[in-house]
Amino acid sequence: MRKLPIYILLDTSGSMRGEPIEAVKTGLQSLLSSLRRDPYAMETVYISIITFDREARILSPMTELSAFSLPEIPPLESSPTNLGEALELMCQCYDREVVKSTDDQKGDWLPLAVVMTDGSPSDTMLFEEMCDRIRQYRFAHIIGCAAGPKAKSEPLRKFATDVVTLETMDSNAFSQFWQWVSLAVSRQSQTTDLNQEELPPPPPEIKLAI
Amino acid sequence: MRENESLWRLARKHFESLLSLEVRLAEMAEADGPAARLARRFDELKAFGSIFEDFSDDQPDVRPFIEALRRALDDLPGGLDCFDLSGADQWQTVVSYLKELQARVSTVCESPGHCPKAEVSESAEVETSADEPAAAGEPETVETEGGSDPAEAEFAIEDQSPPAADDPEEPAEHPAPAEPAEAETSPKSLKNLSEVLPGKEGPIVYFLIKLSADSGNDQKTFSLIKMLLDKALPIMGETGKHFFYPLDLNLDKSFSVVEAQGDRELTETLGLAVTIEEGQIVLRGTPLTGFDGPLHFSFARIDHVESADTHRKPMYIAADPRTLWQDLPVEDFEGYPADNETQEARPLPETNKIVVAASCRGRSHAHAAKPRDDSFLIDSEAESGWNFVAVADGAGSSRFSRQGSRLACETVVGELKKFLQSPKLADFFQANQELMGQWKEEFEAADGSLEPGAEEKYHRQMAENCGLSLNDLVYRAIYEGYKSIEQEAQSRQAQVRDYHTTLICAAFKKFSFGFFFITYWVGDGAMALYDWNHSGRVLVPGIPDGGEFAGQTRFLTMGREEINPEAVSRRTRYIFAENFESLILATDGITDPFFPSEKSVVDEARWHDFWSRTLPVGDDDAPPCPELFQDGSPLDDQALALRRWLNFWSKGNHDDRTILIVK
Repeated sequence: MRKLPIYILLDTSGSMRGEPIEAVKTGLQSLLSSLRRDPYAMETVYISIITFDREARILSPMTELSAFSLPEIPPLESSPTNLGEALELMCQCYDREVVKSTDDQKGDWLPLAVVMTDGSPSDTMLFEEMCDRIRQYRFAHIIGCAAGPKAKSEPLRKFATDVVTLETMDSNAFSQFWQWVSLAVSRQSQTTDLNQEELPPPPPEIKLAI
Repeated sequence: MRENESLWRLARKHFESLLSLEVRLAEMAEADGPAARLARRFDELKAFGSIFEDFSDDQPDVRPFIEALRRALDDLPGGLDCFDLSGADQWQTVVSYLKELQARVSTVCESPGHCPKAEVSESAEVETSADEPAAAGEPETVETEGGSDPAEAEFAIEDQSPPAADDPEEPAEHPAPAEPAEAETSPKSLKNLSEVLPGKEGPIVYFLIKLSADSGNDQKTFSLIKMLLDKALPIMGETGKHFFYPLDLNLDKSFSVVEAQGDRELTETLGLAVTIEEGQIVLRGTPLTGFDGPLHFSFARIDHVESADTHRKPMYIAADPRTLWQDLPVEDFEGYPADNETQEARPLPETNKIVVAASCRGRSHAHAAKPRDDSFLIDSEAESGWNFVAVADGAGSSRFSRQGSRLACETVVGELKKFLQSPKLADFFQANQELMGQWKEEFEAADGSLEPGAEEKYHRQMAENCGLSLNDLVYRAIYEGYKSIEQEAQSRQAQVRDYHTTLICAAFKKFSFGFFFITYWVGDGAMALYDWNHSGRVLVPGIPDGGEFAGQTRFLTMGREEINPEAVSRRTRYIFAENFESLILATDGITDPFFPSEKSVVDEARWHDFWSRTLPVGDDDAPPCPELFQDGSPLDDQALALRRWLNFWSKGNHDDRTILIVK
């Protein structure tokens, strides 16, 4: 069974504490609910969540949508934002989990990645290295989301195919963002040919960083 | 609507088989064993006959139960024909769904979703085999609080006497039956907790606790309960699958749960029973429908009910994926109408064979209100003795591919028919009789695996003799097929690629020396000649084109690449068969689920599996289509049966499905 893997990378550094992380959680729950209503997604989508602050860790391993439940996000402490490490961990997971096409079997659909951060990467050297290495990994889209006033979109543009900015970090902004992500996932799960689907147009709260 | 009806008919058929098994049960030894207990249930089943008379499409909330019943029937081990007592649980599930159906269908509902009779239920009876551990997911009938409706009394009687006799030795292994006994004797349990505890929005689990020590205070305990609820495992299940969720709030020992109930939404709509077992609140049952939202908890101290509190926890019961798919009619055919489904069966004169074919829209197109893109064609002519079959699959991404697949079938078959039926061709075969004989010998000696190149000498010789070769004929038919699509595109000011289609076709006739097939195959899908010459061999005349990546394939409509004599002759095969069991043509809507990799389409063992197991007997991937294998079964029945078979559920495979069988 060919799966559509979705990697979600979440910034859990101290600055996300409080309303921002709660809003992200609510948004993720609504992403889940939307996808659960989509028959295409239910047949193909697999989700994995990676969090990053001072270190990157797998919060949820790659799990089928029907068996997926949102885990508790441990309380956030003030810490650096090691996005490079998160990208590295994602690539390791990709190597392990994404099935490639061979003569004998059809491989998985091209994965989607969503990276959400409210700041800039702290581990700059590893980050730069990963921006290079990630080019060798095939994704349908890598969506970078720079959330809040302190977030910068330039670092994200180094590896993401599409970058959006959320000016505020309130629940409305996040909910719009995750709804848009769910639409993108739905579209991708309906794609029958190799061509990547164009991302759907984002709602007004989200600005596409050109 | 139509699907409901066919499910209904299937349920009825199974129901009738159920009744006929009663005799076999009676013959089994053991006066009080599982066989005897099940036999008693069958008395109830007889009364359910009326369900099938009362069926009407207006009945609310029926569809989920029919689906659930059908799946429960599919789950029966060994199938209905070899009744297997180890599946006592599954029989239980079947009976409970039949009961639920009976309640809902034979009732006039007073308000939507609130059938008075459905409130009434018999007490839960779990009649599993004695050595089965109690905690394993046991199927359960819908459980509610409440008394009994007099109209249901005839069924209630069954439940009162047997359990009373059986229960004494069961309580240790079957906690659930013990509950009804408590319900009758303990006055406290009759109290409807929903009347004393808060809770407006369901589904709700109400429970009462008792503090272990006097000094415990409400606030602290309630906070603890909320934290335990948060920390507990996610509540997840699937419609139609046994659900068992124990909630252990006892970790602290500072309180214990003494009473627990579910509201109507939880117990009736969702079909989950709430009980207390060894101090844990247990949710169990077979969910009747999907759910994605909060499960509310409403709780208080048993001696101080006024200070109650509430909390919630997400609960997710995956809906049956089948219910997520819509079946929408096509709004605009854009000048190329196509039936969403069709089937056909006819005898082939002069051959002792028949053809049965069926085609239907895949759920992907149905969900998107798009038309069916597959086509098939059957043609034959008694006078010349030639028969023609074809299937074609229009590309999903091509706007008018349904017309492409139709034209491919019609034009190619039309042209082949024109040539092969002309008297000139009759002379051709007459004149080349000896060559055909040699060719046949060589073919058989090579065990049916002649490479296209090996036949060259015969084609050349025949061309010398008669001025034309069979390869020429095939090329002209394919060429005309392409031209007809090209012309159609031009007349519509569209492109040929808007009509992309595959094509698998065969022309065959029974000569004095046996059958002679001319076949052509471009694209995905498959064709196979099963049991060639009673040798057990399966001949697959070609290789499927998958391209490097999934989603890509070759098409008839790929212009010069495919429409040139060399390319066409590479895809053409000639087969001599004195006899054969069947010739099967199918589009990838059929090959994807049953032949998972491209290599498996040429794997004879997989075809054996498909023809001798999947179709007649059924397997994990699909229920059987036995009508195809019953001698003397009327042709129309076979066609309809094959059409119904196309409804099999296959995860991730939602393409249009077409299959054509000559047998």
